[in-house]
Amino acid sequence: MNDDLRDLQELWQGQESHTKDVSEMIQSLNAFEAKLKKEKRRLQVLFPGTMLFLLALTFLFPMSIYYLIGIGLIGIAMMMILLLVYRNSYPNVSPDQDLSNKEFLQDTIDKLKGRKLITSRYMYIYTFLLVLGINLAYVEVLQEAGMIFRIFSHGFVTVILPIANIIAIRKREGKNNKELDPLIDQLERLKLAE
Amino acid sequence: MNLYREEQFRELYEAYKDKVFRLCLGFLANEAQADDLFQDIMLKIWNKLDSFREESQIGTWVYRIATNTALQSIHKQKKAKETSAPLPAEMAEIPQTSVDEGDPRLTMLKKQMATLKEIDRLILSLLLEGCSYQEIAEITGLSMSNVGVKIKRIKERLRKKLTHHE
Repeated sequence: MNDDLRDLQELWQGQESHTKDVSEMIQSLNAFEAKLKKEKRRLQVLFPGTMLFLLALTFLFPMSIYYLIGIGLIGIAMMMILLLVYRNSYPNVSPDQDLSNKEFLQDTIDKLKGRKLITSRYMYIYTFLLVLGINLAYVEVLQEAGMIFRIFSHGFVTVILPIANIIAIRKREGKNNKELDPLIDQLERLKLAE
Repeated sequence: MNLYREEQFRELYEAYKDKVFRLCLGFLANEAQADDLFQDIMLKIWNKLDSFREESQIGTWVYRIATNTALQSIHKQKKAKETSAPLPAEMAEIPQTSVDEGDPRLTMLKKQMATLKEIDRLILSLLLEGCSYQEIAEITGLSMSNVGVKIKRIKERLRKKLTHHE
């Protein structure tokens, strides 16, 4: 039996692990956060820039209440997304302090879930407000234009813009599921192992 | 300090990842479940790294954490099963083995391991890793004589099965 055991030991010890390193997960989290930081910087420029441009128009040309309500809605929609992006940001993950901290793990899980919610819920609200805002602003802006052009412009904003946005949102949701779900699962497991 | 700890963990991870993974595999047989258990063990090792005292062998310390985590995970699974649909006793005890395309003796060994009691599965895994009786006793918290008796029974059972298989 001892010879058999030695043979079995040799066979047994020939098996190697092919599991993921914990640091791989830390890398994924930090890489994902870096990507979002870039996106955040883009939004920081794009949103205020758009709002300034729209407000500048009110000083250059006398605008009616429709236009003001319209750009107000666009502003609210942009602010909502910007605030949500900020609220769901987390600092770089440090393996020493964070992975042994249950609160940190839960917080990161909540923030990642919050990120998913921005796409799956708030981007639809954003699209709705944007369409409504642009349509209201167009009432004023296109006042002098011909009827056909006005119908075409309102139709484009009401039909094409939401369709394009919904396609983009769906794509993003798929990407989120692929990138964020494994991270959330892994963090959940780490939390349980605590 | 952080860098030192990270470095210490990386060294430990490299040295023990295969051994710990095999222990998980011996305990759970199913590779996907073994993967999950492996990650839980590694995380516990990371979290407890500061509490490691040089007075014990690092290998014994690692195996002790692995053994305790494996036993805890089985208890958690049992609790979860109790609250869901009940399984026949033998199905609840024996883990489902994954398909193994390697050496037939290894497949046979894994099948036999799956039929053992939890603690016996751990003892056999440790024995296959080359641990001494004393180390196994230290890791599992059993007495040396108890470990000796258990190993004798396990060997006897394996011998019968392997002879029968040949």
